[in-house]
Parts: sequence; structure tokens; C-alpha cells
Amino acid sequence: MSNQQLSSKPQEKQTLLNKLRSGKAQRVLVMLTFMLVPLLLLFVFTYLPFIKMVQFSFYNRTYLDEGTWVGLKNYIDVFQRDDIFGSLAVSLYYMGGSVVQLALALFFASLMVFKAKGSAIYKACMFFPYLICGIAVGFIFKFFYAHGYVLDSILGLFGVALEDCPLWLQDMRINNIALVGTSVWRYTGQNMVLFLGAMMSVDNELYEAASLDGAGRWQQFKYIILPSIKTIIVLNLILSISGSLSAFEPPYVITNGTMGTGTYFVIMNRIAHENQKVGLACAMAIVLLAIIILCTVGQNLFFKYVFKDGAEDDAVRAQRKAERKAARLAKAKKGVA
Amino acid sequence: MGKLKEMRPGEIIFSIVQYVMLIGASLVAVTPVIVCVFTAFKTDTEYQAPPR
Repeated sequence: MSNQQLSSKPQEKQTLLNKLRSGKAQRVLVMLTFMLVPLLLLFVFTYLPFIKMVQFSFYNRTYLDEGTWVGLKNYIDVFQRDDIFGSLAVSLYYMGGSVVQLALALFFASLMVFKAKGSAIYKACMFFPYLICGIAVGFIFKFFYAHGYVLDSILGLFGVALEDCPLWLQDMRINNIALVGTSVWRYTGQNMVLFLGAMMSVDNELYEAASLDGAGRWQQFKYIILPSIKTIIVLNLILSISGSLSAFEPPYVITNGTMGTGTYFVIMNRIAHENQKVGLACAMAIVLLAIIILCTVGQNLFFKYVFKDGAEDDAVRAQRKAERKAARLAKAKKGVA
Repeated sequence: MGKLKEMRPGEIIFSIVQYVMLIGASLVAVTPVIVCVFTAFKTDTEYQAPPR
């Protein structure tokens, strides 16, 4: 080893130390130290369980034993078993319900945005169901729908005889609709508050100017409110559809998933905890995740198509801006020349 | 009353529909909870006896 090489080593060490002592390196070190704990927590409690779930989905196992490798059998079972894949049909009721829920929320938010006396009270009343936990909502509606109790009594006030009232939770033609009603009841207020928040951000002068120009309520809604809240509508729809695919509390508490009311989650819970088929339940979870991702991507594409005009407007505006900038630059260059 | 006279018929109808809808929706939202609260004060016999 030459003398030159021997002398360069301590110099390298010194430069590394100097680099570490520099302000930039210190900032990076502090950043990494702060990020370490949340990233570790995220990995341990979110990504690691997910990785384990993917691994379990290829095994035939219970919670306690190691299980045996079965490959894709669990996934094939998910698509072949009527009780599992058929339960996704129940989710269609909840999807339909979520659309109704959003329409109602948009309607009531629009009513409130056109000044109404006591709107804070109506808002509080309609948001209140969202504050009650899902299990309690289940118990409230179990009693509400029981034959001869609250709902039948209310219908009785309007002259409907008890004998004519259907069995809300036992009749397989309507029990899913009744259960979806509980979800709509619970979440409409929350959606309404989100819509209202977006509508409030619209400048009041726009409404005033529109009414001075003779625009009616419908025109104000169509041309001012709707374009201003399209982002919130898309967000609410994505949340509602993914929520409807993973509906659990109403059918679990009210009917325990019996009489054709078992949603995908209720069946998954039964398979994992009662039948102890953890591998199959994990495969169900992965399939549901794939379905939710597909639905979200589909919705995004759909809304890109629906709101194409707005996007085109933005593109045209951006193009014009770029053209103006280029013209200014060319003018400046000419001036310099 | 004077303000009501200033309003156009369409506005009056809209206001009526607006209040009816909002009050109705508020009642629908709170009725199940109110019934639940009242039921909490009932005895077992009262609770089990159907109201109709």
C-alpha cells in the first residue's frame, strides 16, 4: 500500500464526518428520525397484517394450527360457493341505497343552502343518527321493525291495519330493503353536512347575481351549486359504494345474516370465526379488496367521462395560458434583439 | 306578513315545500331515537306488550 493511499483514508473519514455535521445532513437525519416511528407503526399494524392475510389465503388453516398449502383453491371456492359469491348480490341493495342516500343528502343540503329559518336545528337533527354507533342503531331498528311495534304503529296512524303490515325483517322480498333503510337513515345526515360544507364555500354574491339576473332555484342549483361541488359528489359516491360493499353492522345485529340478509362481510365473519376457515376468509377479503379497487377505478373513469366538459375547459384554459406565455417570451426576445 | 306579500307565488310554494321537507326529514331522523329513549323507561311487561 502506498503512502498516498494511507493518508487519504483519514481524510475521507473527516469529510464524511463533516458531511454529517452539515446543516443539510442534520435536517435529513431529523426528518428520518421523525419518520421512523410512524413508518414502523404503519408497517407493523397495516402492511404486515395485510402481507400475512395474503399468505393465509393460500392455506387451509384455522387460527391455531399451521395449516396446509392449498394454492388457489380458496379463491376458486370464493367464486364457486353460492353462499359466498351470492352474498355480493345483497350488496347491490346497499349500492342502490347509497345512491338514494346521496340523492337525499344533496336534496336536503340544497334546501338548506337557500336560507331557511332554524336550519341549524334541522341540520343537527339530521346529522344526529351518524353520532350513534352502528351496534346501537342495529338494536334501535330491531325494535323499530318488529311486528306490531314502532313502524307498524306509525303506519296504523295512517289507517294501515296491522294484518296488512308486512313482516319487515322476515319477508325475504323486503327485508334487505328494510335493512338498507337503516344505513340510509344513518348516513344521509353525514353526506348532507359534507355537501353543505362544499356549497357554503360558494361565494354568496354568485347566488345574488344569479337571482338578480332572474335565475330560479333550479337554475341556481344546476349552474352554480352542482359544478362547484362535483369533487365532493365524486368523493361521497366512492366512499358510499365502497362502504356498501363492506356493509356489516345492520344485517349482523338485526337479523344475524339470516333469511337472505347476509352481506359479504357477515358471511366472511361467519366463515372466519364460526367455521374457523381462516384461509377461505382471507381469500374473501382479498377478492373484496379487488372488487372495491375495480369499482373505484370504474367510478373515476365514469366521472372523468361525465365531467369531460369541465376537464376540457381546464385544458383549453391551460393551452391559452401557455400560448400567451410563449408570445410574451417571443416579444421579450425581439425587444432584446 | 309584509315580507310574505312581497314574495312571488313561486317563492311562497318553494318555502312551504322547503319547510315541510326539512321538518319531515328531521322527524324521520329523530323518531327512532326518541322511541328508544322512551322505551328505556318502560318495565319489561310494558315493553313486551305490543302497543297495538
